[in-house]
Amino acid sequence: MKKLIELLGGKFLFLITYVGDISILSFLSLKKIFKIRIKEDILKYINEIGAESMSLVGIIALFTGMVLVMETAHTLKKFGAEMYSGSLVSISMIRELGPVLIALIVAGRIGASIAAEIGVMKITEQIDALSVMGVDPIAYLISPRIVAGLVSLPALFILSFFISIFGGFLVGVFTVGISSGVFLYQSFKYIGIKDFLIGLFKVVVFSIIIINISSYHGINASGGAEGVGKASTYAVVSSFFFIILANLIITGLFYFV
Amino acid sequence: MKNIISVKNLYVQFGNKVVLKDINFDIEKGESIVIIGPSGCGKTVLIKTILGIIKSYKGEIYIWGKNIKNLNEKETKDIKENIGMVFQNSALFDSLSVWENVGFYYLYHTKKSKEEIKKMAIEILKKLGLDEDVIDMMPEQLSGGMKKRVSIARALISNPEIIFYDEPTTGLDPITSQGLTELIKKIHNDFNTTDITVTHDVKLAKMIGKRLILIDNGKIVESGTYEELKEKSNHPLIRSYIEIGG
Repeated sequence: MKKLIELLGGKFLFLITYVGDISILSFLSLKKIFKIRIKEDILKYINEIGAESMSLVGIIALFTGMVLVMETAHTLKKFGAEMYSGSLVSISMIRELGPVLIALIVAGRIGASIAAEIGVMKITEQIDALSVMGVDPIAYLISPRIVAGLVSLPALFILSFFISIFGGFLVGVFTVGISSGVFLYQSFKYIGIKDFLIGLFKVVVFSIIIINISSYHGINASGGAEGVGKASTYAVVSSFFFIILANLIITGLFYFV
Repeated sequence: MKNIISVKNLYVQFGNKVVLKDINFDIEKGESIVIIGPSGCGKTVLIKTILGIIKSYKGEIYIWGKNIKNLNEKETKDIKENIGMVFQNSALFDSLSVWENVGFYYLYHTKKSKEEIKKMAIEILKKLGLDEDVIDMMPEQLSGGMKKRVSIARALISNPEIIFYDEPTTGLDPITSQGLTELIKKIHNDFNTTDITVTHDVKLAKMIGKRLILIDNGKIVESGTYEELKEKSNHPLIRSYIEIGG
């Protein structure tokens, strides 16, 4: 029993320290946005995080919109309410699925790569070299990625929203037989500016989580290639966990409490 | 002569392991000091602590008379502008070309044009015996010896007064290693730098070191010129090194 308490206590302390470290890093990386010297880096990272994720996000959003209508239209048809499948797609995508899906895709695609890149820099002393040259590694490596994430994820969110409605439209109009005008009208009828802003807020929070967690694992990588591999894995797994947790908290705060 | 670097009662500890114990030494302007000792004795930790990369330590480190613990942002920048470091594995930035690596200090800290910085990089690379052809290459396209030279060029570009070399000849073949040793000596004379070199290569230490500091198990056990140590020291490590170095 004593060992169990010790084990749980140890894990709890580890979690508190971990969250504390990530919070401090997040604070510093946001604060140092104003110290970014090489502005071209932001464009490079917007390309990596945003532009290169567009096709994947687009395809997944299209399929998600299609699946949502496929799953719901036939059941709703039994009650003569199939036209509401458009609303279902838009509400789910703007409030929950859109932000979470995009965040998970970006965490998988980019989180691992950030952790690996920074991890290799740490292990090969490139971060020490930055420090010797009077370059703040957070301002040089993390803050530009934060800005790029804050630009890219909201853009991907808006893109995925419209593509998912288009996906739902294709299935709803051409296979279920809902009139195109009704489908589009229903798609936008029940969503308000509040839903859009909360969705936007979620992706902003998720982007900060992904970039900081991935960078944190990169900066703390040790032990050669194996260490970099582990850092990448932890970055993705940990980002997934904190995205889901943050989503729960934000949804609870804005729609439940 | 005025001390450029003073280390007083330095202790560094990682967890329960004490890596450096009661380190004390001074370095004067224009000296070439070699810190020598077996692998894992704390040599690299020592220079990383002096450079401010390792921040958790007990004791005092003064660079140009200023305690590095009490420096503000501007003082830190001024000091770092006058210090160059050549890392063990060169530590070139993978994502930047050779000239961007060499000119990184100016790319980041100044508003000089890229063309101007590129010219400066070419000039310094030529002085170190590298062709202009390498400037647009990426670090992965360079040999070990070329990487070291690029790394030295990066350290030299801001005309630093102090240069740190961490195991400069590690991983190089004997001929390249000999060439690099001569280059380090030439840089010391031509650029009038104060050099602090960490190595376990006795031949390098003998050639470039005006004073040797031997570290074993985190403590300074001997210090003096090569000849002094050869004549007077009975420390078994020194005797083994002298046997190798001749």
